[in-house]
Parts: sequence; structure tokens; C-alpha cells
Amino acid sequence: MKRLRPLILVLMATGLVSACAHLEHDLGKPLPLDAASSFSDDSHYRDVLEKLGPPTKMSALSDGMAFQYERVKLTERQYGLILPGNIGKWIKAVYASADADVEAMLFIFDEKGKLRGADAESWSSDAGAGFSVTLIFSAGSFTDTEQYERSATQSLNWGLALIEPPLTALNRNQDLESGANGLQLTTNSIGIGQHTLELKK
Amino acid sequence: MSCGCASYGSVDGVDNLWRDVPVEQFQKGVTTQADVLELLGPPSQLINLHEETVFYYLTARTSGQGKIFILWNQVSAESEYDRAIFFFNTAGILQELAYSKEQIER
Repeated sequence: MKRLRPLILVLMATGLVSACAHLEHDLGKPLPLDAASSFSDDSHYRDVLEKLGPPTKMSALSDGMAFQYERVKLTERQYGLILPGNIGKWIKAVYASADADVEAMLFIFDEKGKLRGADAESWSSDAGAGFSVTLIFSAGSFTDTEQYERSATQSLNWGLALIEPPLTALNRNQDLESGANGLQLTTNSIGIGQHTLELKK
Repeated sequence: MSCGCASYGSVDGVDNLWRDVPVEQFQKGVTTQADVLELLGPPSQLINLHEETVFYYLTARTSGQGKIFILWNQVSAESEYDRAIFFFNTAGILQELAYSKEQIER
């Protein structure tokens, strides 16, 4: 995004940028990241529940369990460009760029429920960019931020597993969303790590 | 200057009935899985932790609004989550529970 700022400033100065749009999506409240370091080795998972409430995600592990708390804020900026001729009165070209501010906390417990390790991190990442030609009065997202905005209730769609592509269905027993095989950040790409077995792009 | 505006919203998950039930009504070592099911209905997720079983309840609400101007458009959306979690031992007796600090009004 920073690399494009000079170009956008030049386009604005020459009158070629016709309009702008700002899109925001807050997924959850900010996390108390400092809390992760306030727990001791003797802490029990009940202490974490009391302080932070139910986790965003949780999973059984072979020798315990894990809690994961997440929060994502998406910000997308759009810049409309004037098209030449009469078509420019009704149609605009739009360049869009999105950023994601992510907060995550992970707690790992042993089989007795005692805290084994905890950490909290926050970071910003480039969530993608896109280009579109659209009606002059419109404001919709032109970047692909699906992996950030997947519904927290997607696991309720377990019946859909029966009609998934064969490679995905075969990998179901290692599913990282089932709560039985581990966890992954919501912000992960769908084609990395365990999911590479599904040969997704 | 204003050309249009819009607002939208949706609710996902189960009805957050736990907000009508004080936490104190669930007693660790006494309350059973059947008691929780009767009060709150089926959970969003039922998680097997080998030595424990977890009932995980979730309600998610997304709301947003958009303002469409000639030179400036703005769309903002917010997703809120309301959660409750119950841990039971192998006998189906409540061991731990928690409600989320964040809550959605019923």
C-alpha cells in the first residue's frame, strides 16, 4: 500500500481520481493482550475462563487442550478513476487495497488443565488488492478477505462435509476446525499446512 | 451531497438463552448435561476432550451501515459475539463454565 501512495497522490493532483471509499469491518472486540503474561505455570484453565471468557476456538490435544482467542479488523480503501469519454459519467474504474489488523492469544493446557504455555501477538498484514469497473454510485468490497470473515458458526455446517470435493472429504479426519485435531488462525490461507493435502490454490 | 445510505444486519448461531439464566444457577459438581440442555437447548458445538465434554454456545451478530456520496463513500460493519461454555466430566457433571464478557442484548 505504501508503495502506491505516490502514484495515488499523482493521480489526485492531476484530477484523475474521481472518488474514494473507505470500508471497515470489526470482527470482535479488542483483546486484552497483556493478560496472557499475567497467568503463572500453576494457573488452571478455569482462571483463563474467568478472566477472558470462552475462547474463540478450542481444541483437544493428545495430552491436553488449547484455547485460542482472536480479533480481526479489516480496512479497505478504494480509489475511483475517471474513464475517458461519456462512459466516464456512469462508469468508474476502482482500485482497492485492504489491510488486516490481527490480535491473537493462545493458551495450551496439559491433561490436568494446568497452563503449559501462553502467548499473545498483534500484527498488521496486507489483506489483498483488487481492481474493478463498476457503476459510479456503488460501494462494495473489491478485495478477497474471505479467510478473515469466515463465519464463527461455520462449524455448524458439518453436514456440508458430505458433498465436499473428494480430497477435502478425505482430509476431514485431520480438520483443524473440528476441535479435535488442533487449531489454526482464522487469517490462514486455505491452501497451506495441513490443507495442502486438499490441493487448494 | 448525500446520494444514498443503507444499513444491514444478520444473526448467526443459537439463541443466547444463557443471558436469561444467572451463572449462579449452574452449580459445579451438581448441574448435569441434561440440566444445561433443558435450559439452553442444543449447543453450537459439542467438543470431545477425552476426559471431559464441552458444550460451546455461540451467537454472532453482524451489523453495518453505508453512506454513499459523490466523492466519498463509507461502509462500516461490526461483528459481535456472545459465547457460553460448559465443561463436564465423564459422568456428565458440570466442572467449569463461563460466559463471554462481550454480550448481545436479547
